[in-house]
Amino acid sequence: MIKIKRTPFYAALLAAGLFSCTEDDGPVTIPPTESAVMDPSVGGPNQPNQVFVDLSTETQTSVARNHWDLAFYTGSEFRVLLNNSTSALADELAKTDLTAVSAEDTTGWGARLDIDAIFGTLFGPQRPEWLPEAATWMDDPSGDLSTTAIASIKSNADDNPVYIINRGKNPDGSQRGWKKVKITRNGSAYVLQHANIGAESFEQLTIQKNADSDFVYVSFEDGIVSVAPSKTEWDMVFTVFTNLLPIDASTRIPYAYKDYILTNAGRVEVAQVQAEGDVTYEGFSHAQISTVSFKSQVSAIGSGWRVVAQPGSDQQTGVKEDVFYIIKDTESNYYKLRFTRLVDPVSGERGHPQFQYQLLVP
Amino acid sequence: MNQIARIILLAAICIPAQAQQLVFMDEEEQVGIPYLTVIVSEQARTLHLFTDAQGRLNLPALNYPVRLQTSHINYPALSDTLRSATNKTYGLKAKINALNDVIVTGQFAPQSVRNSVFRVATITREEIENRGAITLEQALQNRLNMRISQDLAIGNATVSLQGISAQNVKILIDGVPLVNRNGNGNAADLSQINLQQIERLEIVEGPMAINYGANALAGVVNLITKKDFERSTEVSAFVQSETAGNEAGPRNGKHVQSLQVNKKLSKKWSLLSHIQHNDFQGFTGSAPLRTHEWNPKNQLLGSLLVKFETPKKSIYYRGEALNELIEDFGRPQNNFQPNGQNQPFAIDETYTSQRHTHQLQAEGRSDVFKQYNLFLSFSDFQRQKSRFSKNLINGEERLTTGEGDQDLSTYRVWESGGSTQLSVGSKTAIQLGYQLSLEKVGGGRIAKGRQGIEEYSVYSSAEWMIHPKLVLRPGVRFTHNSGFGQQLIPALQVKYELSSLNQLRLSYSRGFRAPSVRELYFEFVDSNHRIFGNPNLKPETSHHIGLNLVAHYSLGKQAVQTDINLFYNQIEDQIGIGQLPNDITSATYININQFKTLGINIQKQATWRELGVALGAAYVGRSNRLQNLSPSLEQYLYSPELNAHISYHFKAWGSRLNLYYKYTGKLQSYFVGSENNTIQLGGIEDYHWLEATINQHISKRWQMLLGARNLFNIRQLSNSGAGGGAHSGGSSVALSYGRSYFIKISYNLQFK
Repeated sequence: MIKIKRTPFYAALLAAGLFSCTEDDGPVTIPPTESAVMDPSVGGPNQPNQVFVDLSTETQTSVARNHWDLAFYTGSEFRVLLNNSTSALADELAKTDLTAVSAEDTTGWGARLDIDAIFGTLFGPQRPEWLPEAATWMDDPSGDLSTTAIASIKSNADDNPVYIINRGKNPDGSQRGWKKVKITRNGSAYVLQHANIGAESFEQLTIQKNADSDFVYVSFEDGIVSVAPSKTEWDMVFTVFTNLLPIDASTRIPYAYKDYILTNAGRVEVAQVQAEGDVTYEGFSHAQISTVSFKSQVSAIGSGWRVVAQPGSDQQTGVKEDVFYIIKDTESNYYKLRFTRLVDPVSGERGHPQFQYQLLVP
Repeated sequence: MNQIARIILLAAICIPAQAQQLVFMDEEEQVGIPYLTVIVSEQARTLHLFTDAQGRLNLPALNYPVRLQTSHINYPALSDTLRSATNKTYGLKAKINALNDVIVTGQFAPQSVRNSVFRVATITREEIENRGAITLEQALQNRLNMRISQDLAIGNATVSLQGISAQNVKILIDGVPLVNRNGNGNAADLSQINLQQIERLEIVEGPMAINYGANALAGVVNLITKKDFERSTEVSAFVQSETAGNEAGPRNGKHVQSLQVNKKLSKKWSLLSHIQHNDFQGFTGSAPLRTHEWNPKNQLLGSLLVKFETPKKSIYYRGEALNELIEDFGRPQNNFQPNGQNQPFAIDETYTSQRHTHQLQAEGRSDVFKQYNLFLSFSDFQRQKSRFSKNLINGEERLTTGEGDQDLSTYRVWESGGSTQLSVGSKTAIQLGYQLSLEKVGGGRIAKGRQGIEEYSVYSSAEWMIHPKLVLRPGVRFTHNSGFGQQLIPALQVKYELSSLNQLRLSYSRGFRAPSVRELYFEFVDSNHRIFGNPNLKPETSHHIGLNLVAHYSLGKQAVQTDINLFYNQIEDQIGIGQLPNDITSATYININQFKTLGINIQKQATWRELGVALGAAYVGRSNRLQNLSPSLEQYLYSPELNAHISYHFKAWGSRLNLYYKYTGKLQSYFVGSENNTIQLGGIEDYHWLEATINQHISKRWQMLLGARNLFNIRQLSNSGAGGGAHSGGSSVALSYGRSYFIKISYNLQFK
């Protein structure tokens, strides 16, 4: 699967991680949290926040998910991600000059480069021919940096086309609008040019890579903004997640999931454990770690920890009580973790998750 | 006397081979009864003979005296002793539950099934009793051409007819649509329809749009309430307890208590009342803690009928009330407090439905109108959905605050209708009628929270006897609807009397389904869905062609009744989900689909003394839009059905055994599947349904019924037909909670 493709990338990341470890070599070591209950502040049914969680320090970092637009990769490659949590989509134009792009270039795009419009075609008289292409307008949900909507930024400025970005939706469902962008390199830095589609001028921003974070986050309004904590200071993030939903064997379309969990790519491993018989959350010990199999996909937890009521079925919205997780965090601590709730105990609304976890010691 | 007999006997012997003819007549119809079995017993031998098509029987030479005994499914046995060869005519009075059953659905005036221009099937009170059927769902369980679907999420059961969905099956009570959550008569929740005060069910397949208007496209089920009783006071009560699968006991299964009091107040006034409690405790099965596979459902219902009757007219008021509570208990969820203490909670939901119906009805004859019928009814249905969070430590309950968590949907209908019959000459009768309905619908997902529909219709039919054996019934209905405007619906039915017990019926009729309030005014927007109603929808319309033959023939020594039906339905402009033309990010309802069904069913029944047997088979084909668009696909996907009803009367013990069986074939359909956008074939698997009951007479006043439902213990049907998308549904369809047993004890008290 996609795993294979990413192996060299993870290897590189791991190597970089080890390398930086020897470089940093901080003298102070804080012992990891032994057990805790956390209530990530996802913010209720509209889920306005992305919440980054660090298990070993029992900290959460909450960021408004419509606070940023693009994430620039700080590794050796030149890669730019869209804001998946707002269901932003991008498609390229056959033009490379931002000022040469006008509204005529995007006529009819509102009917396709839009997550609701794409979903709406399922009810249309006929599926449009472009539908299989829709999957390429977003970054691959696997986190694979080689399949992003915006192609890798080439060193030759003219090789980088102009992209039209639909910025997706705000938590309240309102549209975030459209931008045209052109991204080029300047040495090891990125240069971002962006403007409204009809605009004749544009704004320009230079983004330097840094060793501290995997990505530098940029907002079209506020420039460089702070989103994810530094590389090893988070294990997983609660977010709205735009996934690709298979509608037939060859077509997948963007579809937004709430209460989704992504893990820190390449640094966190997760084993999902089915509680049955003697295998229980309470009883699980360090000695049993070898009996479970770990996965390193970013969606290893994903939506597998919860159930959502569907029309016509009697399933109820809530966590799956018979599932718990063993997590190897960014510091190689092993934790057992189980989700205790999904909805608020008073309002009954989603977006109020809670989990408990405990350090596994030999 | 003895001497005379001896002389006659002597004469009989002396004049051999003298022709002797017996004639057997139907007393009411004054026509001969064909295929009547006549068992003639001489001292030494017994002959089995049959009447001819005119009900005549020519007896051979016999050694008198002989004993006669008749046998026929529709007539009680008649015995006589013939002392000599004489011509004689007997009058037989037809049994109830035969072709001479009086029915009213769609008729100008109450008349026999046999004389009805279209085929009307009935389910009698006796059958309802024998099955221990509490709700309509249970009474329809083994009928051909009908499929019952369960929605576990909202605890509701609906029925499709002739392969056409429940939206098109109109449920009427004494001809008045039963208002329910989904509509005015159609898509009614069968589990909310109680049968205790129902005298019989009349089922007509095929559109009954002329008389009943919209949403009777597939047919109607008309519940005829009990209005007559013999004694001055009748009190009857019963208790019924039922297991839910293997879950039994006072806190499990289903428990019903019912009381019925009927009283004649004077010669003209009488009163029928009824109160009942249906308490279903739910079925846990393998559901997690606190939750149920089938949610508990508690119904309290009652009805009151006040009747004023004179020889020329009767006026009655009928009031009916239903209160239903469905409880959906959630799973316990943890909730850790900052101090580490756990305060587990659960999200519970309740659905409280209330229905009040008031109905004023008058019928009778006058000098101007040969027969008239008028009604005015008001129905108020409301369903409150409540969602609350319950703290499992201290039991505190608080309503949740999410969007749509608390929702009150209401459905209020004023309805009035009337019809009258006029005679034009001796061979033609004309029926004129009107119907108007004012519907008001409210609810959280209805645009602006409240919407109304008004409909006014006039209709007319004529029954024209072209020939003593041929009746033609043309009809037309004109409707004005505040939503979709005007519509004219025609129909033509023909009945040809092959003989007194064999009839051929042909019908062509059009039907329509008015867009539902949900389809017109729905509003639902969340992160992934944007669905809006479409106020510009047209009604779905259909063409129906039906052919029916009811015939009798003899099989061995027994007369067998055969009922053959062929039907074809074509629905145009069927409403489906589509894209909004001016906002492609939204879905809406549009007139897009096409649906066709065709089928044949054959039913036979016969009685041999204590044994009654009815067998049936149906073969129904369905064709959806995909089949219409792709000629390479099978144009119809057929599903077979078989049913049987066997009854045996153990006279010596005063008990009756009844077996009800149905095989429902695999229901296949094409859908756009997950294979390369290609069309796939999927379906719901087939199943067998068997019910058995024993009705035991204990004393004059006490009666006991023992029964078992779903003897094959089928709970889920696998479903491979689910379409793609985020909600690809379950891979199975719920049928029942499994094999269950019940006991019913009834008590009847009568004065004078």
